[in-house]
Amino acid sequence: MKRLKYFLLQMDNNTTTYQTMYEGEAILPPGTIGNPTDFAITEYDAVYWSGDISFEISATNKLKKDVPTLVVRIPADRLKITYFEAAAADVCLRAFVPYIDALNGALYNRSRPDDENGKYILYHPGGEILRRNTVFFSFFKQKDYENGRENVIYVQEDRAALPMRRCLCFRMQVQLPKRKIRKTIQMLCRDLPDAVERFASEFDASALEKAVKLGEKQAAIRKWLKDSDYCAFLANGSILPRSKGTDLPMENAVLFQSTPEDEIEVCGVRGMGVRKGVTVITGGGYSGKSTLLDAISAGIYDHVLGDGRELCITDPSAVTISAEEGRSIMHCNISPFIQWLPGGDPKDFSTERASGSTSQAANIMEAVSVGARLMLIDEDRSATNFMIRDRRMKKLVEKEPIMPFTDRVNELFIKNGVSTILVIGGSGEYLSVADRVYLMTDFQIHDVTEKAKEIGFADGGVTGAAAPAEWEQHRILHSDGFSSYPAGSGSERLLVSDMGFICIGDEKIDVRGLHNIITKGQLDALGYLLRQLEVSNRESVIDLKQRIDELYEKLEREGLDCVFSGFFTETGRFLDMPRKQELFAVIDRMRRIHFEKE
Amino acid sequence: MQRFKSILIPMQGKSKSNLHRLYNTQDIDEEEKVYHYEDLLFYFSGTSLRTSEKLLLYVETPFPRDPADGEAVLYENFLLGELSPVIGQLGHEYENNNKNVRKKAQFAMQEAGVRILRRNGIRYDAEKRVFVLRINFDVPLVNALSVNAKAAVRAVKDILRHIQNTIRTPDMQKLDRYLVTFRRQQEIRAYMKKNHFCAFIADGSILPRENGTEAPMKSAVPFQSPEDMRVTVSFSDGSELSGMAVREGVTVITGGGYSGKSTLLDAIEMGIYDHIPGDGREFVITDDSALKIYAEDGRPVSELDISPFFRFLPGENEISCFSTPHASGSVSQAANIIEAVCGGAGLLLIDEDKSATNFMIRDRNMRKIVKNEPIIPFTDRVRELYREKGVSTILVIGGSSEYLSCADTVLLMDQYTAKNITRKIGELQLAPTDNRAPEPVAHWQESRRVLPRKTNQAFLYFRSVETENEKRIVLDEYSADITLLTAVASGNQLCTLMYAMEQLLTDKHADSEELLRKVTDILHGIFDAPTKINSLLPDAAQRFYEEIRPLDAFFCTGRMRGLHFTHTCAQGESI
Repeated sequence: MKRLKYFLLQMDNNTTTYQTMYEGEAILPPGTIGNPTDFAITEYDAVYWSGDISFEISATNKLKKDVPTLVVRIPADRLKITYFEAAAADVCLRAFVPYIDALNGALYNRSRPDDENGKYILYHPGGEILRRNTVFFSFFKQKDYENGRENVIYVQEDRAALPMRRCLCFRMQVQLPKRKIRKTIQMLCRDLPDAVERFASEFDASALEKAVKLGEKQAAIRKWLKDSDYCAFLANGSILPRSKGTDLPMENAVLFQSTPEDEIEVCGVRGMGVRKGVTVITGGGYSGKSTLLDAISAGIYDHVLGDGRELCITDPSAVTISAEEGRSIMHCNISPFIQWLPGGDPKDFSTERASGSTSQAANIMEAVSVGARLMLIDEDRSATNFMIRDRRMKKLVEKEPIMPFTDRVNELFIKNGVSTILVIGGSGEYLSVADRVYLMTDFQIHDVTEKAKEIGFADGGVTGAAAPAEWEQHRILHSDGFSSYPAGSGSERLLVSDMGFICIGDEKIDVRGLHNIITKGQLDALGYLLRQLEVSNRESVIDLKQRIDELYEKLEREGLDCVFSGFFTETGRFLDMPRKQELFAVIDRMRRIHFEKE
Repeated sequence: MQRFKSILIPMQGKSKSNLHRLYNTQDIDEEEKVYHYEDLLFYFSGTSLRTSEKLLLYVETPFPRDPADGEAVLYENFLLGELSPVIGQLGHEYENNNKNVRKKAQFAMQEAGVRILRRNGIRYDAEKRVFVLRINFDVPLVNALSVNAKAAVRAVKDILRHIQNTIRTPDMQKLDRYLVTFRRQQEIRAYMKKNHFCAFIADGSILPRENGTEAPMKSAVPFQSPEDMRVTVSFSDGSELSGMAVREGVTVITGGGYSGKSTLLDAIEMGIYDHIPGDGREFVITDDSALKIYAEDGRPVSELDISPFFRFLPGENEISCFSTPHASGSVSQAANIIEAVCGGAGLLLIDEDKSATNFMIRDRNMRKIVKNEPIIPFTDRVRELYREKGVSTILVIGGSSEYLSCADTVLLMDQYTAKNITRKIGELQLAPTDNRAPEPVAHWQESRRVLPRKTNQAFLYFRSVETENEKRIVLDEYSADITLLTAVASGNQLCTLMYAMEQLLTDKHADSEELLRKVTDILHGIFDAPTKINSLLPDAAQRFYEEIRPLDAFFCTGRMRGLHFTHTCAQGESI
């Protein structure tokens, strides 16, 4: 910190580059331990120490020199942390948030913009537990020198022998106040280290234990789910509805209670197991159908204690499917659902702007091909003529290219092992094809399978079993057009907007239809992952599956932050780990790449 | 021309702020600055102080024929259609010939589309019997500061010469063709009104469009009307035209996927406008108060009576004055229908694919299982709408047979040809019958007034965003997503809508009158008093406007985030 303060003091009050701060020049005077020569040696080290806590400063990107990225590293043994899972890191981040909020509260001045006022920017997580680049555990060196005057350092004798220590690391940003170097010094060299110090001394490692226990339980349920014939589990007493407009549990909500028929006990938790197969959730408007489906879809990720859905666990490969009018489709086999098309081959179908029904068919086909084992479908967000075609309409309209989902949903399970959970409000067509039917009344779930079957088959059920379909995709990706460089440009382009667009190269990818991307961090990360795939590609024909697997292995080894690049100025700094399914889905929505039939 | 030259040429090399002398008179007795070029009169007006080089060039041109009453709009469209390619071409030449960017004169004329609408780029002055053209003209500058008068004179002369040449030898045959079509269109509209038809599609119309454009699709199957729905309209000039007439009431269009159902519905939607000959849809005529209805997940609803479609909603929400910032699919669709009815739409067009299923249908089986249902599906209201409010509906239905029983007419599309199968459905008893008691008659909201803005501060920040997939209007704290306002088809129409919204939102007495009347007045203001565009929008003076229906502007206010309404607001009540 002494060095940092020195650099800042030396700076011009109007500086916009903060160059010396980023460089972190350190001078080893001649004749000392680290420098036996008789002239001064200069080292560059932008890691500044406050006691045993280190602050590494790096530039966020070339346009935001006044918003440096800080990595704060606190030795784990000081915090008495003994667990190093993602769940433990997540708890630490949540514990750290109030300290930074307090600092910001003291700084905030509504009559000035942030860049004059200064601000600490720390990622505020929602209820979900994800692998993040904002908090993680890693090994880091210890302080191996004593500060001299100015930026002179005296290296300690056993420099090489000092072992690496495991540290808890926070990645955060600080908006430095413009033209106020004194305040900058106050913010960086005094307030922030003080807050971190207070956090470290007040940290309660026992809270960690609870979270880790929960994490273990979640993992156990997930493992059990994998081997059983259930695809989702919802614990009794879970709070499913969210408080209006937020991600927080609703107060005074009706607690979830399983139907007696499906109540099971898993790892000491009683709750409802949703069997694999075709499940229909029905009920009147505002009876909690969609809330239940949302909770199931949220169960893809783990949640923190107190979220209300922490013991709602779903098959992690589940994908939410909706109609996405206007998406592009490239050489996709949608023949199971579309039997013929005017001027097109449904086995190898491409369009710039798909209709509601073809887009939903493509979404399902692509999800199946990347290994989704569970589809979550809400009738409200689906194309009606894709979802249903009742008996009378079948009789009336004989020439029909669209095979409705009712006729394929069972085949999807039997042949591909893909289960489906549907929320249905208006049409009784699914009653006869469903394995289970649940009714929601006043936020309570009831099993009405028997009655539904009776009613469904009274009409004769869904008629006309379809001929078995071919579900495999036969397409390969070519490298032309798969590039982060716009045509004829020498510099890369990547832009991730809050509205749900990823712009890369010449491409503008609309990902608003991907409901399983739940944080902005995931969206940013997807942008960087896509860019990494494109930049590192050297081949003309891309084996996408293998390349994505390799990329995720790399992320496993080196951490999520390895894909970040400070070159791009319009993307976020804080990344959350997205699933592979989403990365595939983003690539499927690109318009300028070339898939080709095998 | 001489006078024009004598004013402009001395400005050569002087600051652009002198340009106001082109249109401002300095002495009290100085004659008005109107210049002559052969038969043409022309004059200028400025746009704003900061951009004094951006002028509006008005050209008054006589025309050999005087339009009859009510036909001026056609002449306007015809002339604009003739002139704008010529001027556009000239503009391109200017871009190419002058390598030096600084010396380039830029000018633009409004483009005529395929729809016959009033535009502010051209106006017929009935008193003087001339057409007034408006051209955006940027005086070429040197170093962005001093006037390059010689180049400006040359450009103006070029423009005028081209206009003169075009006007002198107009393609009278083409004009006659336009006129005949236009007159027939008006006659069809009158015929439809008389015989209670809500849509007419002439035999031989080309409905599908070329992918992504507004041009008719080549090699498309021309429309052929089913025999039992064919009517023949006899025109006053002795000729006849036959086609399919859709009677008022509830009409269902069904058919397999890709059989042309939605294409037919889209063509009917665009039939609210008159099209020019050659468009393929020139004799597709629809009740001009038709509105397409979508489910619009996430649109705001403010102070709307949604009781026709909802029995109750959880929470403290009062359904007779319901507000939400993010409506669900079903609520949004209900709100759209109620607003359309309130705005006086006479025909609703609904595509099942773009609707919320649980709003559209609730079949027999589901009624048995789910007892306590707050949503009253549209099946239960569609007949009432026609009976009570005289609002017809045309539905495109692919998957569910629920609507067959409430339809007056059922059309089957098979390989792009329509068949009337109403009788067949009756014979086969395909329509589900159930003996439910009908819903009690609903109360439909009839009145809407805007609560005016509380501050009188001018807007600071205006934007309309149009991207591939979305269109938005942003006016300070107000914003509206109008992606699904499909009747507003062109960019010029979007400008008009923006302007109308600005006027409405800044009006301190916005609640003094019914909203619909209010927007009608505003829209009339644009085209009737064309020189007064009183707007703070950037480049407002240079924008081209194209007529929109008051209904669309009314519909737009409904989805304006941040806007509030009052049901009954006494006049003069202070807020």
